[in-house]
Amino acid sequence: MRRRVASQMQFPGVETPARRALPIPTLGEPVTRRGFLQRVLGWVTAAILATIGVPAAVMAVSPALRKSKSEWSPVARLGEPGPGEADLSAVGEPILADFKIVRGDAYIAPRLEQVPVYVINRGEGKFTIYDVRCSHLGCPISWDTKKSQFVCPCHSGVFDMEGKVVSGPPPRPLDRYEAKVEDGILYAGAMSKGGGGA
Amino acid sequence: MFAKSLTWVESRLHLEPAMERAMDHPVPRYVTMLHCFGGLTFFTFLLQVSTGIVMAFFYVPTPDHARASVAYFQEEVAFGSFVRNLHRWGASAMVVLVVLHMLRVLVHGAYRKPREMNWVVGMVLLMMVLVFGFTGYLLPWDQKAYWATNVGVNIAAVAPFVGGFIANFLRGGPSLGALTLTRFYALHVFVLPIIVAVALALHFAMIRKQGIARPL
Repeated sequence: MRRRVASQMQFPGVETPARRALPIPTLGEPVTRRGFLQRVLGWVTAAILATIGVPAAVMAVSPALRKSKSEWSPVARLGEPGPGEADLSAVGEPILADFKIVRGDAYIAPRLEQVPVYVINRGEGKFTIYDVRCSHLGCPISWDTKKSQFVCPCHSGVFDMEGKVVSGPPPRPLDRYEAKVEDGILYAGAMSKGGGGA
Repeated sequence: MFAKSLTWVESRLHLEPAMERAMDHPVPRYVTMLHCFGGLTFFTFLLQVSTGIVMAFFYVPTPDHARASVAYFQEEVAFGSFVRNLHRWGASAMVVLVVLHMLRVLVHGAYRKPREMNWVVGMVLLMMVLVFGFTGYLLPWDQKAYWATNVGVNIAAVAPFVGGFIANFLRGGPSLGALTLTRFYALHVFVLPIIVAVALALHFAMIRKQGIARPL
């Protein structure tokens, strides 16, 4: 088909430049009906997949983001320990003690759990509470009075009074619990990984 | 956005012809909106599979923990209630859609020669959807689940001669309990999906081979 060109007014004595056909500007390939529908179908499919996939993925992954809750649990009454409580009056000597926490595990009903710890009385109302689990693979450590060191029976991990690794495979110092004294009672709080790591 | 990666894959695998066969398949003019129910049922199946897999991350099929584990992910886990409700409503939608699909095939007479075998496979699929619903109903292990299963098993027990055995098979013994829950769970998440996946492959292969029936 011949393209119709709008007639151009001519004036006598005036030179009019000849019109040149301008190329029609396009944005890449012209949009066909088929291509348009394909694209719409693609985006609708993607939206449906996201609506189902995102909640599903978040649900599956979210337990990974759970944080352990911690409250203050009484360890022992200082000075006059109650029945079953450790006597923490000796200063500068790790003493095996324990406290009870209510541990809920997802859908399993919360229950009382006993947490064994080593408590060191630093004097002047200051206490350090170490978790008894070795920072290597979690075996319970014990205090060797003769060597003045914590020793792990499993792989010979050795820690000093400050919880630092003396020898053996443990990758970091002993884990410890926050400690506070209130009304003459020592409380254990949140646990932090030894060496400050998460 | 992924043009380069697509070209990279395409230059190695040459998937374009296969994709075209799958996506640009010509469809006869007499196909209407009524023909969508089969595809929609398949969509709900995919929905049930994906939401079901995620719930399997949390669900525990024991009388001690089933109820609590469902309550836990429903109330405590992000999107738990959303995913469970998708599964729950998706199950109802699947039954409705598969029945509509079956009715459309029936009304159009699409079950007749040469498509009798596909009708039979479709019937198997319809039954499996209902068994899916029945077995899934027990898993939350609440009062409704327990007594509905009790009723369902007792209905099966009425069958002549073999009824008693079927009921015992379903319950895993003479009374409804821990073994009933685990076998319904095994049926629901392992046995039925495999049967349905195989039957679906046959169903789709036959419709591709034979084409969509011309309505009466």
